[in-house]
Amino acid sequence: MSTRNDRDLDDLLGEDSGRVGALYRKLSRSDPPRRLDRNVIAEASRAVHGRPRGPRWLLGVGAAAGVLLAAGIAWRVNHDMNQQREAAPMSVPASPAANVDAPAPNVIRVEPRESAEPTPMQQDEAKFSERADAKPERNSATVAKPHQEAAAPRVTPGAAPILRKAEQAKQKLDRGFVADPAETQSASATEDDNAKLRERRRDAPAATPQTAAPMRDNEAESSAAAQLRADEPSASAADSASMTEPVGAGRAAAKTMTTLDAVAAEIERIRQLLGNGRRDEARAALHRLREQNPDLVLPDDLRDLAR
Amino acid sequence: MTAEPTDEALMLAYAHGDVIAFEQLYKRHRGTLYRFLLRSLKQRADADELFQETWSRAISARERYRPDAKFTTWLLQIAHNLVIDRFRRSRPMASADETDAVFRELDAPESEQPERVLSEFEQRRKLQLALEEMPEEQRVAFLLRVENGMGLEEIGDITGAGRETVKSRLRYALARIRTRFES
Repeated sequence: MSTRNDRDLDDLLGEDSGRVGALYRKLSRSDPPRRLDRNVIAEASRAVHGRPRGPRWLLGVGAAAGVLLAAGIAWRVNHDMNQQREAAPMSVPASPAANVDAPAPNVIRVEPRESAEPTPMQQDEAKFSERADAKPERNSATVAKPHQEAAAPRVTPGAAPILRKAEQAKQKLDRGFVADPAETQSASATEDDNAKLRERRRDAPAATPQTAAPMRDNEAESSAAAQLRADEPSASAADSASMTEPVGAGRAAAKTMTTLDAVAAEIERIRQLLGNGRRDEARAALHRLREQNPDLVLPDDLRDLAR
Repeated sequence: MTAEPTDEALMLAYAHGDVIAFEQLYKRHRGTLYRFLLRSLKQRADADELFQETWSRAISARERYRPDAKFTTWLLQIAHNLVIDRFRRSRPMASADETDAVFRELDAPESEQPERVLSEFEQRRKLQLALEEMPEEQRVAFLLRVENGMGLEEIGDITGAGRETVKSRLRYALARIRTRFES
């Protein structure tokens, strides 16, 4: 073996690996990359603790995030429950302190039906409601009721103004006003006025039988006229009674309704006379009707006859 | 002034769950181990792979570690075995003829090997080339000596070779280096 090699070996095995070792240490000193360091440390930690040893601040951030998330969910659930509770149908009446601006969510609102014009049924109901508001006492109401029911279906277009006028008079009567001395009589009516009234009433029943005969031939005789003939004596008696005693709401209402029926029936009879060509008789009947009812507003088809 | 704990004490502490002790141990030997692997394998990717594998095996075997062996020896044994396995997979071992040719050159009389004065840069370069051309066993032995400061017995323990085999490998390694310097 070469001594040179032995000397080199001894030099290599000497302190700090001799000259060769010194030369070797002048070579580039490469170190492992940082990622290798992290990998090794992480593996060492996992092997001992069973979890990666990452930045500790991440644990705090994660815990805080979890707490915030739980708090947010709890708040949201509570908020939704409160909203549902407020929107739930209220079984108890609203307290006075309730917000009047906030509508009750579950209260069904019925909007009034707006129509261009009231239906006939509504008109009738309105009329009946008006009459009911000014309803007389029971005794008169029972008497008036049949007349009401009888009059309503028989209202002709021409009699509408007349009925309106009579209705106004009736309402005034109910309030205690004397609308027409011909229609009503106050307690303070004089005997002269009473006599005139009795005379007028006497004529009315007389006229009725005269026209009753021709009307018998006419099958369109109204039941109101027949009722007028039947009720005339009792109406007269009622009138006479009303002259001497204070006008009660019941008696005045009954008399007004009877007068309305009578007027309507008479107008109808006059029309029938005209239709039958009995113009003179119709004119005379109309003249008597106007004398009995000065405030009577004639329908359009009878105005020429009155001239 | 407290003395720093030995490698063996730190490894035992880590075996009992002290990760900080392991970090200290790692900081002490990360460089030498990496350079040993880098120069043994000559490929950085291979060196990175085996570097992490070496420490991974050390971590797995922490409970089996016994302080009668030096930690560095134990660690380098793990690394060496990985290197040899990689050598056997990728590169055939030098043939006997090649080895004899190297020895004949090394045995030439000194008068026939003129020495040239080389600059330090040239010396480093030639040493690098010599290491790269060196057979794996010689290179490993040489590196364990110059990089890790191992003695003949320790190199023998790491490589599993006898004392004389280690010496022979070191001689051969030095001969190659000289040849490179004189070329």
